[in-house]
Amino acid sequence: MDVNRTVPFVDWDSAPFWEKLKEGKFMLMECSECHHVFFPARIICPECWSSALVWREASGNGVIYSFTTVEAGATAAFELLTPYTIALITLEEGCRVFGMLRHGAERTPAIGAQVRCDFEIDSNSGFVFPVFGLV
Amino acid sequence: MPSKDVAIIGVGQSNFVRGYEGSIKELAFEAFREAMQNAKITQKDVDASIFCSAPEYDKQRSPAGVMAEYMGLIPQPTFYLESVCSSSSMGVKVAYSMIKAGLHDLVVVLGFQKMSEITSAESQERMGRGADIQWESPFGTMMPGYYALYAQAYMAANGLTLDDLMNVRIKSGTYGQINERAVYQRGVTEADFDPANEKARMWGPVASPLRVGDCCANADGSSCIILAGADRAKALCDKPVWVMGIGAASASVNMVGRPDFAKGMQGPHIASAEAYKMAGITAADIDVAEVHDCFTIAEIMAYEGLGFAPIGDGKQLIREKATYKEGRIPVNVDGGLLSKGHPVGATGGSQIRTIVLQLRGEAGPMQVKDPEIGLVHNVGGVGLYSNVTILGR
Ligand SMILES: [Zn+2]
Repeated sequence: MDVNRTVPFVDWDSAPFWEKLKEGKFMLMECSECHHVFFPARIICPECWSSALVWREASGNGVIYSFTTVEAGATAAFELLTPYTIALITLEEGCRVFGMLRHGAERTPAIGAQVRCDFEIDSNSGFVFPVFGLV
Repeated sequence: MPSKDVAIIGVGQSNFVRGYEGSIKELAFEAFREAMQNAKITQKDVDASIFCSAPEYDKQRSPAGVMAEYMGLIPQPTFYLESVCSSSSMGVKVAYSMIKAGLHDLVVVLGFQKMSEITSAESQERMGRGADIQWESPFGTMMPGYYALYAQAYMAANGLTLDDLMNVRIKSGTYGQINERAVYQRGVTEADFDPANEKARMWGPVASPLRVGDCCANADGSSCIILAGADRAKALCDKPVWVMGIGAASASVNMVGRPDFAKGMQGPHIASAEAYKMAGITAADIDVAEVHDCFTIAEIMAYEGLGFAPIGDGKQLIREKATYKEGRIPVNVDGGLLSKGHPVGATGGSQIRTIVLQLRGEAGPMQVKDPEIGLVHNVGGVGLYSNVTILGR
């Protein structure tokens, strides 16, 4: 399928996140000073303003916070993927993250349902995106 | 008592239409002319102008100067203000501040948007860039999708049903059909939401749980609000409408940073508390309100954000028809965004115009009985910019 999907604007603060996805790792950030764990990535800790931040791999396990299945009105870049489900996931590390949610027609997602992170390459752009699936 | 320092002395609005064929300058002039004639003033009476739109839809860069010249408002100072869908409410706030500060005594706020100026695909793509381009857009987010994420979590927690949302749309249609400026002037019935009904397609899925009928329509349009200091307002105007209270708040653009979705959006709670305090009133004192119903779910959340209902209980207002014209707290009795259409930069000014007409007793078939205090709730982005304006006679 020739999908011209929107790709991320990658810059210094976000590049390691997108790189690690290629290794099948969903990375969060942790502050070495105050131990705040957060997402999305930044280069200064939003809690204590320290620059001593380290990447930390998430377990990939979480629960659905909310979700929606887009059936019409998607941007041109996502039209060919329609219908698709996007979800906000609360990871077990406590961070809430955005991602696509894959589920067959026979399994409807529900708030609070357990999910696990998988990784999917977009052959057009070479980007790997996190994709959550119902456990 | 709140001070009567700044008043609205003139209001105007173009028809909200699909595919306006003139330029943005002509579109804006329609509302400008009506407001100026309404205030019975000419360009030389104006001390400053503020133009409001969402620039991603405009082909013209830095539109304020171009617009000011076209309206005949040079060489007075002009300003450009943007906060997406709440641009013109924020324009009124800035005008109020200028007048209070003694910088300018009579200020024109002109909101405009020609949504059809660029192609629909271009507009979708640019709207997408209003989201967090680093961490949201790559996952296929879109405008109804964001409100759908709220709707899904809110409905699960509070027992709000799809029928409740449908009833918000039906109420909107009740008044849209008597608002000759609305883009959608047809009444809406339950039958329009029936999947067997191929014609209306209000039931058509967009982003679950939201359907076609839950979403407002794009439109081209303009609105104009003229404000003046107390002495000037009293000299020029028989029925000045006073700005009693203003409140505003911002929120995390990225949904991962938002507080509890089940409690709706936080911004309006903060903005309304500030506006009520400034006006020296409570939610119970509001006689008529305009809320930002870009989606049906947004109206229910607004009831709670403004204190018309406790958190989680917004559904009761629509079930009891309390927000109809004859109800306890009439809301969007001009059809709201759902029926009027939503020309982004003009929307807040249009809501303010509706309340001004209500308070003057000039709202025609939409008139509620003898209101003294009205409220406008206008939200930019997905709750990113919240604005509450309280007006009184
Ligand atoms: Zn820290």
